[in-house]
Amino acid sequence: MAFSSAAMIITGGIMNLGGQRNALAESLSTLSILFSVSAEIRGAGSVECLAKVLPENGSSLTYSVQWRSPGGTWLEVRRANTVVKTLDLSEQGIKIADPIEKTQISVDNLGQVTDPLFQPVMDLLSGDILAEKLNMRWRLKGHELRDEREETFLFNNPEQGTLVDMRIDLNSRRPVTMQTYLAGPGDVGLERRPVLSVRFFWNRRLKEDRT
Amino acid sequence: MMQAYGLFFVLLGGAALALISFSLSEIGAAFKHAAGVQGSPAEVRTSCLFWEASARNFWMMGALASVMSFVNALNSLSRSSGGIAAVASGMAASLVPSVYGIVLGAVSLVPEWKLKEKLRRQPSGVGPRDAAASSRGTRAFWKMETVTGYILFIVLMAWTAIKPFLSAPSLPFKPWAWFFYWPAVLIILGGTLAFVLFVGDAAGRTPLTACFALTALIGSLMGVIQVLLGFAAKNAGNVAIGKIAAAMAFIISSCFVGLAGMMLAGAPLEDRMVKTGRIDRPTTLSRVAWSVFPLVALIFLVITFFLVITPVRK
Repeated sequence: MAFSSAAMIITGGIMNLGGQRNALAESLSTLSILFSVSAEIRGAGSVECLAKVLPENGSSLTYSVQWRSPGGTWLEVRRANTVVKTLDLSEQGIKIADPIEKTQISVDNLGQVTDPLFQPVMDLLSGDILAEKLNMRWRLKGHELRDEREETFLFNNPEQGTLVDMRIDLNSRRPVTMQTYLAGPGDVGLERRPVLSVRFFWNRRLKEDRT
Repeated sequence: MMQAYGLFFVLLGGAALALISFSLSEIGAAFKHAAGVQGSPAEVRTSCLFWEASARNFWMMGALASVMSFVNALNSLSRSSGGIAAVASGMAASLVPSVYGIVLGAVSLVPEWKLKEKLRRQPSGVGPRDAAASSRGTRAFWKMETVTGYILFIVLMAWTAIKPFLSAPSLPFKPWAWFFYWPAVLIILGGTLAFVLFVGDAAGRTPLTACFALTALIGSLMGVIQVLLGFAAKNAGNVAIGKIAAAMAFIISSCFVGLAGMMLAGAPLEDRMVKTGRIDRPTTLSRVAWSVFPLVALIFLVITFFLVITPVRK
């Protein structure tokens, strides 16, 4: 009995020191990372998201989304290196401009932005919007550890019928890249067609901006 | 819905634990005595024990339900339609069953106090201990009710653990992987066994409840230390997160195994010792263990909750 007791304690101790993880530990780890990522995105000061829409046919569109301040975003849509549309989101409202036709319209809220050119990046218009999607809309489908510093999370975005693949820097807890795919039948990787590719460039946090 | 299941879990679990320790006739007599029917001192004393045991069982069932509900909320991460915010809500709501446990426990203590007072006022004829001692050897532990109680309790636990997997067939069917973190299970069981062996000849009077509570407390504290070391470590992102998560799983699993051990082994054995007159009443150590440890487990759940939802940056 004494031997059994000692054997159980020693085995348990060795397994614990060996860093064994079960499903519960995996879930705790994943949830902790996602909450931190969400907070980092929400508290972001100046971030530039460079996005590229990958169409099946025709020329691709590139987007530069700059989160300049809380509630302030500057968006440029380019086709073949030419700016074709801009969107200025601020506390005063939303201004949409067409530099080619030299027109400008103002709208009150994002729900009134119906131009299909902007639709692929509507989730990226501010840190709050992206964090809200991550917190409340997207369903986690899986995650994969790339190395000790980066982990990839796969989400299902049921609103748009897409899969979102987000690569996270585990030290800073910030997204590095994001890929969006049309969800194929059975969501098998080979059948996924990429529609949007985003790279995040993080500069400073909000608190640092204020000091 | 989850809250309703929590109430069902606490009520049915409390009933199962009552069946493990008491016969149907003793349970019936306890209700009659609570309703004001007179009885012999020995019978009233058994009824007192029943109501105290009920309070203990409901309180511990509430804490166990909270632990299981907390784990099930974490298990819903990949199928929650409300994202991680819904998982956090589920984790926070997991504390509700412990409120049911406290309320039901308090309700059970009322008849116990009244019967104790009645017992104190009764003229002393045959002493309660003598009456209990006279029935020593006539009470077999494995009665029909005991077996039914154990089966009911195990089915209830298994159903609660399996239920999330039935609603999500895509999940790999491994309910045990969520509740049993093997390092914690081995250390708690081994530690409890070691406690009993150290006590030696006095083991007959040793409250197994207290042994489980102490080892589970030690295990949980080990987990807390590991969490703190994880935060202090200068490791790369994933290594640090992994260590902290494993330590949190260790804490939760220690609490789960400790509570289950107290309810399935410690409490029934002690109830039997009182009923057969081997001890006068549940020991103070045991009472402290079943009063305090569930509360400690709930505090650990709250700490884990805050550790998970609080953004951390290395």
